Amino acid sequence: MFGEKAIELIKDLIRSKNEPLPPYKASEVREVIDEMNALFEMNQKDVQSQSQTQEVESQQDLFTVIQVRHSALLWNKRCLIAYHYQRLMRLKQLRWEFGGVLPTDIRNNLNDHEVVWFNSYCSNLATYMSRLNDGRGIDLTLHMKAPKRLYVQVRCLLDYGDYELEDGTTAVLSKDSTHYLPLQQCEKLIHQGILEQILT
Amino acid sequence: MAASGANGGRVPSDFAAIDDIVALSKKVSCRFVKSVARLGFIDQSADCEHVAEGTQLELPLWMAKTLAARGLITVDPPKGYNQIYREILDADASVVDLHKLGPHFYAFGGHLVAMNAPEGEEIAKSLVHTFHQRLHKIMDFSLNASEDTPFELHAFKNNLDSCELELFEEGSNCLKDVKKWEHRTLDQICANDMVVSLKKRKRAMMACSERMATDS
Repeated sequence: MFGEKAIELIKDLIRSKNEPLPPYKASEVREVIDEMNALFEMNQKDVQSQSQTQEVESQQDLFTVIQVRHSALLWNKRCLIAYHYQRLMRLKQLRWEFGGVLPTDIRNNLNDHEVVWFNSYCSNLATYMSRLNDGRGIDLTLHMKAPKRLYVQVRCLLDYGDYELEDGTTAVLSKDSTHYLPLQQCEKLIHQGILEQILT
Repeated sequence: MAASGANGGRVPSDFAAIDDIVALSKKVSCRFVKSVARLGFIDQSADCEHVAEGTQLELPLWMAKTLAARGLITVDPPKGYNQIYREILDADASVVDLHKLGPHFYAFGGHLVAMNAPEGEEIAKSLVHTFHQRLHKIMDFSLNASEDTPFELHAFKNNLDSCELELFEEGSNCLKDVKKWEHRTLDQICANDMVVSLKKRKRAMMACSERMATDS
């Protein structure tokens, strides 16, 4: 039946609601496009043969057939657009949550065009953020909560390695070590789940 | 939930909305009032070239819409929208499992009404009335139910239509935020939600693979 492969793509999105981004279904998308091509060609053939038949009755039926195929075509198109659009919206969300570099297991789920889109989205966003604050730039993903103090106590949750601070000193972020760092410089790491704030 | 359709050739606002698409893919039973030559390909179980008058078929709603617009089929109101169910919903809508009937009960109903199905007006009225009856309980649950009564909460959530569920989540998220504010956890800077969930998934997957390794 027409349109059933297309709806499978949409259902895949619903099933993976709680995942960051499911793998791109390249072969399924290909199949839907093939189906659309087949539908289009059948319609083309019918439209051309239509000019030869003169009976009004059979012409009416032919129009119906063409219209049914056409609606299937539009339906497939709509599913494909929705599938890709929703993936892009999730990808956009990921940029705000994970920052410019995605974890490898999410990155593997993208297709080539999505990688290109993601990179250009990142650079657009970076350009925008650098223009803010009278050209001095501001990172919009930080400072979501009003800071209580300039320095915070943090615990490291995994082996991250050396981290150089703005004043030139390096902090060795090894698992379960605690540090006293300027909030401004470690907030991003807290957001990315590398550090954890300790409240005293 | 707005009915999409021909609004001057513009793209309807819910064009890419997943819920609307799924609602449109649901099947309805249709009866052909005219025979159509060479349309046999839409009925794959019967191997004939033409569709005869009186043929009964299960078609997805988006296709039924096209055919109904040409006046070729009549659509039977499916379960949940017919006379019997309308009476049930009229009596007390809050006990009906709309998830089972839907799960996109309102969106589907909206499309049925938009395509001038028989009894369309009654269906429209019943949809509004149903929502009206259920809304209060949804608000109540989302703003008061806590994790202390997980079974009740779960049973209630399973009865909801997809758009009701959205409302419910909205409400319960607000409740969580208020609780956070009350407990002053807002001061702590935390990891982003998705980062946390990805970590959890990884941990679960690692535990799973370890278990498989020990089993083998």
